[in-house]
Amino acid sequence: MLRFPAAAAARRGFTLVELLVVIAIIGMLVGLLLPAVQQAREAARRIQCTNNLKQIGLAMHNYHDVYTSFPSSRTADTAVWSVSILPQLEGGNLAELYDYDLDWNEGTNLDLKTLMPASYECPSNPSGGDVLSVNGFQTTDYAVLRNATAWDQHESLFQGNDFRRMRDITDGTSHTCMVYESAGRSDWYVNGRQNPGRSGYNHTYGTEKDPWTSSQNAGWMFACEVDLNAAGDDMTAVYWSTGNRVINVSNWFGAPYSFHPGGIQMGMADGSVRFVSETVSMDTIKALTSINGGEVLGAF
Amino acid sequence: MVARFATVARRRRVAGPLMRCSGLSLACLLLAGCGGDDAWHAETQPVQGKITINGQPPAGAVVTLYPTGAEFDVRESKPWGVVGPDGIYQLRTYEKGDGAPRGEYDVTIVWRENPSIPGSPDMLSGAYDEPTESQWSVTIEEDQTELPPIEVTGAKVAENPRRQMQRPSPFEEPEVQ
Repeated sequence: MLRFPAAAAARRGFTLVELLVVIAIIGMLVGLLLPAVQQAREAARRIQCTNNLKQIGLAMHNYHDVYTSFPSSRTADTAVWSVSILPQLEGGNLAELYDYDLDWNEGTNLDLKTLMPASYECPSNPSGGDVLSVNGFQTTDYAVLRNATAWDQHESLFQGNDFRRMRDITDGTSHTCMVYESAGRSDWYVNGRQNPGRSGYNHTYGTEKDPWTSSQNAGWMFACEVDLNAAGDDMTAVYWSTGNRVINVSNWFGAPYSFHPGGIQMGMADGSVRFVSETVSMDTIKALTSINGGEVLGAF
Repeated sequence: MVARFATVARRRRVAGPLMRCSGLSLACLLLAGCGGDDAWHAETQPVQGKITINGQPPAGAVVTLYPTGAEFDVRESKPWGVVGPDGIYQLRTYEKGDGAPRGEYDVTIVWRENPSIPGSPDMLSGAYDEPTESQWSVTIEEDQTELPPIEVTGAKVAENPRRQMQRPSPFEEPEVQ
């Protein structure tokens, strides 16, 4: 008589232990899932960025097929690479808007300010598609090399007014950088911080070099160290050609910078796309940036 | 009644460790994705040194240590330091003030006219920038915080190093102040 109601009461609902176990299991699953979702999203963005670099690489190759040379990175008598390859990026109509008789910042060429193709934009860039505050131009998240890292000895693929050809790449096209990430250039980033004070980066450079149709949408890969103050809102010192860091230090002067954790993506001259880690050595960077250095490039 | 109390007590005893367990494992899972980025760093210890060139402290010069043996990390890092107005430099490898790993090094000295400008020329004309021709080797032992002082004598400090560059700098005066 006494046992029966007790058993009925025990079956009426969930016990504390059962509830706790269920909550713990749900907690574990959420704990597993949340970081995985974030990483999957970043992986997807990175793959889209890889695709952009691949498209640019193919466009460069098609340009080479048509004109028997790569485009130039300066506008001495033609447009910058990011405008020159537009017909090869299915941007023929956009290319027709560009008047090659004018400078990039004159007359009707100003109409292209905000018409940058989506292929020039890395989806990981939080300010993707934004315009430079000084002149209203959009900026590409990709750049070409205007100088080799060992600039006093070797040459890069897009140096000066030269139109390099495939045969000039004596180091081998799979060992030579063609286009790489210099992302977020509508703003100035240092070690992941956006615009940490303006005292060090005069915007004249951004006006002339960073716009997507500008005279020289190109950069370089030199070791650089930027010290910020304790609050992280201003620069205390800059050291160029010093230290051990090249990648993801700052995006000024078209330096290699991306919003992918751990490194940047790089399109090689053969059209392949590699992920280059922040931990590569200076010797590897020098070998990648030169077209005629004769270096032996190991695995990286 | 006694039996029921005992059951509740037993349940409490079970629930306590279970809750702690699940909380702990949850914390582990959440933390698993973080950290570990610096695993490739070598262990460093704070080290400083003093240098004079022709008896004067070369403020703004950069002293770099090249490992003579095997590289100590995958990036082939070279510890470096900027000379202050008193001639003292603090070495850094991964971040400001972290020092250098133990080991043997060749020392190079480069004194750029203005290090905050890319491609600024060396006022010592590259006389001391080759690790293979270095006149100074140093060893950083355990618990060592001072390097032996370096005294450079008879160095030619160029007044206008830009004119002596063999190849013109490709950096057409980018505006950095």
